Amino acid sequence: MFEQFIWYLKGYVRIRVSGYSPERFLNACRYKNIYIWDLKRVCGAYEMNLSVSGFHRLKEIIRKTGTKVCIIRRSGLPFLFHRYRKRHILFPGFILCICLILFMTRYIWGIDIRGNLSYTDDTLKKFLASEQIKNGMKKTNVDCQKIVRDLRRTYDGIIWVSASIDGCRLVIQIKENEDGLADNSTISRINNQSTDIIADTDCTITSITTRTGIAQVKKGVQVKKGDLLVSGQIPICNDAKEITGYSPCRSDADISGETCIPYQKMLSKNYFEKEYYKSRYHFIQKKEYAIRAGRYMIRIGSVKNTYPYFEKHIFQWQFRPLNIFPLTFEEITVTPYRKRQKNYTKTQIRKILSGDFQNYCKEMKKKGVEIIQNDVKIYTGSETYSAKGTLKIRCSVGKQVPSTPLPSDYIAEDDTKNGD
Amino acid sequence: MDMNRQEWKEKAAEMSGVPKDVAMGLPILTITGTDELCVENYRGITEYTDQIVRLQTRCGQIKIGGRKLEVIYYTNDEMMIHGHIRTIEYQT
Repeated sequence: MFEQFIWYLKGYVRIRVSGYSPERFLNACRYKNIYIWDLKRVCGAYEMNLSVSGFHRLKEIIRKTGTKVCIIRRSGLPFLFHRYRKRHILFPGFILCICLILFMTRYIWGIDIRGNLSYTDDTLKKFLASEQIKNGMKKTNVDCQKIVRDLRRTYDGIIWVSASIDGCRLVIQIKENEDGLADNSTISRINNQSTDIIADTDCTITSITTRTGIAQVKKGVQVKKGDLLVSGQIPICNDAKEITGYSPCRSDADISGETCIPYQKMLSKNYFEKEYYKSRYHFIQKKEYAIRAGRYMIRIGSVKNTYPYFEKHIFQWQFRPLNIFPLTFEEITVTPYRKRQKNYTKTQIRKILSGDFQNYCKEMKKKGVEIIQNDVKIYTGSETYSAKGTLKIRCSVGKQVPSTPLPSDYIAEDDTKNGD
Repeated sequence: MDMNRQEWKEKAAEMSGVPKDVAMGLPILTITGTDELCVENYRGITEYTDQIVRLQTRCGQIKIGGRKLEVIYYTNDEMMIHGHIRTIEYQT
């Protein structure tokens, strides 16, 4: 492959040798040290490749051997240059193209963000733009370490960031904290501080398992929102069992409680149904196509109309030639319709409201909430239907807050006993 | 006379420990599988088709038989033959 490339740069010719005993021609070439390659027997003659300098030394051999030589093909860069020597724009254009590529590749033409789940690309790109990291900036001005630092500092949910330049793109890889149940921002802020756990809702404690800290409530106790459940201040006693001080720690416990929450869902008796305008065979639709490149846009067609109501759908496809220039194709479809008022039947109402309630229960289950009892019923009004009731649920309670130091004479009842 | 000179050269090469291809100009054939043959110390091609390549060497002719035979390169020192090689025959 490399050898072929070198020959292409130097230029070579393919010749056909015919006549009486062309083998003599081959041996003479060998004797004169003319390099021959890709030698083939074709219809009683020989075809072979020769270098340009080798070809110029053939004259004497041809005369001596009495063979006939004809050129089949000229290949290589010297012949190419010779062929296009009168096309004055070609070579300056080629050089200009190389210069443009070299110039353009000094800039960032795309930002790829990977691994983000809760933070959207737009959010992160807006933040980067506020930090002067955007498309069209010079590669030399990109400080990857600063990007990593800023992202980590601003977004607490991001636990790992990597920024690197790949060609003309800035690639930012992100790892988010997948433990979404905890309030990440609060935890990271108070990570190195001592914390208490307080109740985040009114409930009855059904179980409490403390890993770190001092439990302040027992099973079966009713607590109100904001009550202290686990203290992060561990008392230090002297030999006389007197509290001399408190050792702060980050409290950790599994606490679950039972509470009642109201459920209400209203539904109007009448509703509007969309009736699409229809021509003879299909629905009336207006379409517009657009190609967007950065701030610039080329539109084909129009979706302007005089209909009072219409649906508008926009489909976007992003296309990046050579991963450098971002192009977006858009297809905008407008479907007009008229509104028609209709009333729900009782069966439909029951189906919709019970379906909504089941979805609500599923969502609660996903969040780790156990529904113990429910008395949700469907009530019929003059204009509306409603599903109302109360749900008795069991869920994890407590949230971490920075610990407040206890007065020196305060100690929980249980702990005094344990200490004794 | 020629025979005597040949024998004398062979003995001299054996006694001095010089390789025979250097001392006597004997051909070296390096065959890789059945598809590639490299020939050194040859004098020239006497016949070349896609089924036969006949080479002239100091110790006589070498006939290489096969199918789709093709000379990849041909220089003063060595030549490379590709194709399905079936036979290599020494003809003295």
